[in-house]
Amino acid sequence: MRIPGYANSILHIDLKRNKIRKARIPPEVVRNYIGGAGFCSYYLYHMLEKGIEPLSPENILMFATGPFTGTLWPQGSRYTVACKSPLTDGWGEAHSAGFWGANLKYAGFDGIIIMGAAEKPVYIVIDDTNIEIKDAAHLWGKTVEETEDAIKKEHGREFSVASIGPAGENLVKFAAIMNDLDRAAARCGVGAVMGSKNVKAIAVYGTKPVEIYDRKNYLEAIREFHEKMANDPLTPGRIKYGTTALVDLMNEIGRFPTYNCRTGYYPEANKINGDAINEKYLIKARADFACTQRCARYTQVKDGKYRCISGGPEYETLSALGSRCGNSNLEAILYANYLCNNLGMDTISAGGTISWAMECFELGLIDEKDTGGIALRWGNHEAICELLKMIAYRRGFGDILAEGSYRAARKIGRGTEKYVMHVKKMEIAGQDGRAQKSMGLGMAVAPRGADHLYAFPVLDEAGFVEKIKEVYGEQYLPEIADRLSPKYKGYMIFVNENFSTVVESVGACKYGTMVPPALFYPEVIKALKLTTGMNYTRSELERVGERIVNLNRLFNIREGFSRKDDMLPERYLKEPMPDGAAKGQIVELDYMLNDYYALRDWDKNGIPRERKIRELGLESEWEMLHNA
Amino acid sequence: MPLYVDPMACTGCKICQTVCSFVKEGKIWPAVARVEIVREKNGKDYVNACRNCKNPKCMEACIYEAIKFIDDQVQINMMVCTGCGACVRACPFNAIKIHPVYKKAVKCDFCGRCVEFCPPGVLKMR
Repeated sequence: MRIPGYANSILHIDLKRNKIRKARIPPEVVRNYIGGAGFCSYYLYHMLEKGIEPLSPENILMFATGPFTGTLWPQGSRYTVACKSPLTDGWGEAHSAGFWGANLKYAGFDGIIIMGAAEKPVYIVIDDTNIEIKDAAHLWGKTVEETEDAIKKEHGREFSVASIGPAGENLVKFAAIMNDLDRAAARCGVGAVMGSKNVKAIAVYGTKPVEIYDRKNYLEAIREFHEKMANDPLTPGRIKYGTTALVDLMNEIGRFPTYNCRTGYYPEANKINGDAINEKYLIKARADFACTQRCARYTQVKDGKYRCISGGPEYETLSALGSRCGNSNLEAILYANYLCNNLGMDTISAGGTISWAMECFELGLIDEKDTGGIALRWGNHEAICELLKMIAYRRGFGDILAEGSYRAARKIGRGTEKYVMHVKKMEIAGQDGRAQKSMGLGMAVAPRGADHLYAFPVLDEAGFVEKIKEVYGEQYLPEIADRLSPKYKGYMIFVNENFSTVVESVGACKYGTMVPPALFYPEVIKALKLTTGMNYTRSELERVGERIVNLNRLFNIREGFSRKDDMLPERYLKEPMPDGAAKGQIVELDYMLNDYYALRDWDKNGIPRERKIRELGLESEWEMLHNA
Repeated sequence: MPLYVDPMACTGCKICQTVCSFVKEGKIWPAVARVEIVREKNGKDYVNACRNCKNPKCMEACIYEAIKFIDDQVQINMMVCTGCGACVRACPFNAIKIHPVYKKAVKCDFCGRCVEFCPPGVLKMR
């Protein structure tokens, strides 16, 4: 049976045997995992062997859209990429928007599973159902922009391209997959896995229709959702600033990582904030497919050595390559952002790794002999830009940094390990947990490592009391709305993760669903019914989220993870915040972790209890874990 | 009347294109939409749809007289159209296509439904 809203097919590409096959998705998988992140969680848990080397042909790279991807759901542009992460050696996933996911569905596929590795560089062209694996010798070595240009020139400008840059080719542990030039599936080193498979790009163009279950009521519901988004009080700011608005907000609450997360307050934040960008560099606000919010920036540095045009920067980039490196040269940040996009690297891990090296240099733990003569002082923006290129091409000191800060510190030693700001070997994003306890817990327990998006707790950031009442219930006030209180934050992360994984599975954006929930469970349930015909109650949908969270946990347990890995850097646990609005704060992780595990029905070691496994219908996955 | 958008104000979201396909086809099917958004690398986003030319090349090219002015609007009569594609080739703006299923020429008929859904409200009918 064909389910509306879906393409009802997954493309399996086996690069070793050079075989392509299309397979339907079992109905119970659709029902239990919905799509996107859910599909990836299901397929990869089942298909990947325990303990494989992430950059070996045994790893699998999966792309998946959800039922809302490519439809008129506001912000229905998202897709998920997943694999075993070469950065964390555990569950790896990244998400992106743009037009690629929509095109994949129009071509007739909900997802792509790539197995094995090609002997020589290849790229994959999906022109509707016509699929070709082509020689990419002429593309290898090219930047993201050059790659897209060359593919579009050869195959047509209507193609949407997801590709890796030199960073992915050179197996940089935090290489990204870039689509539509500047949209990034950035984290976990998914680009390195694509590079290890010798796949330079996947170009997709689809011209087929997506069926809608309830044609009569669909457009009216879409109009209602659009209105909800338009009337959302955060929408005007999102249009004007995109995520760059967060620079001021985070600095104000002392949560803006500065000097490798020594502090959460950056005195020069006003030089790199949304207004500074809008004043001189913003070309326009641009939207991804079906997006009403247009948070994406499109910016240009007109002249000088940092001349560039690119998408972004996002808040995360301004933090990672700006405040975190003590760098307030905005033109340099824009250029560094352009470099990361074009070389195909995660700006967060790149900035996190460089800022770690800077702190070590400032402390005298490394010196010019290590860096090849580069004075890695705070704010040395020329060094930042130079290092980004050295990382992508693995030149000199860049070769060590290309392994990420955790591995680089292990290699160098000399006490540099203490300054690695990571969770599960992944660099912490622009969120200091000391200034917002829920964020501290969220990134400690997220399966892909220091991840602010898996739970994305945002309602306590600025105390959205009304929304908090709606989502969590009045009985948890006032503590739950207090970002500095650890109380009820286990519950907050529990609720958020369940919904957030559903959001990533239907193919929706977290803006509007999580921040703040203008489109929450009722709207998702309604849209699922109208789009696909599938009926879910709220508790059934919550159960889908819980199932995915638990399956991601099982994946990591299979790889040897446990409570010891749900850990934050010592700095967050023991060094009180030195200044700013959160002065004196640390993260009370153990308290929140116990709270969270109890709600999840996991034992003290973070392992799900069997009754929870049964409740979620994960018995066979549980058995696989014990037979692994 | 024809669609117009300031390429610097259009966000390139393609909601107009997708709504068009749903209104005309009852499906999400941007490839057959009568309006199309073209995104350029320089940041400009253009709308492409029938411009309602004063001296339409398509009308000139149609030997079946399926294309006529109705209330000053260029319209295609589906009952008469044979899907020969002469108008598609004649249109200098690439604004007509042959429907992949019905094999008839389709283009913007100025219904204006897409305009209602433009999030920044910048898509206009002139």
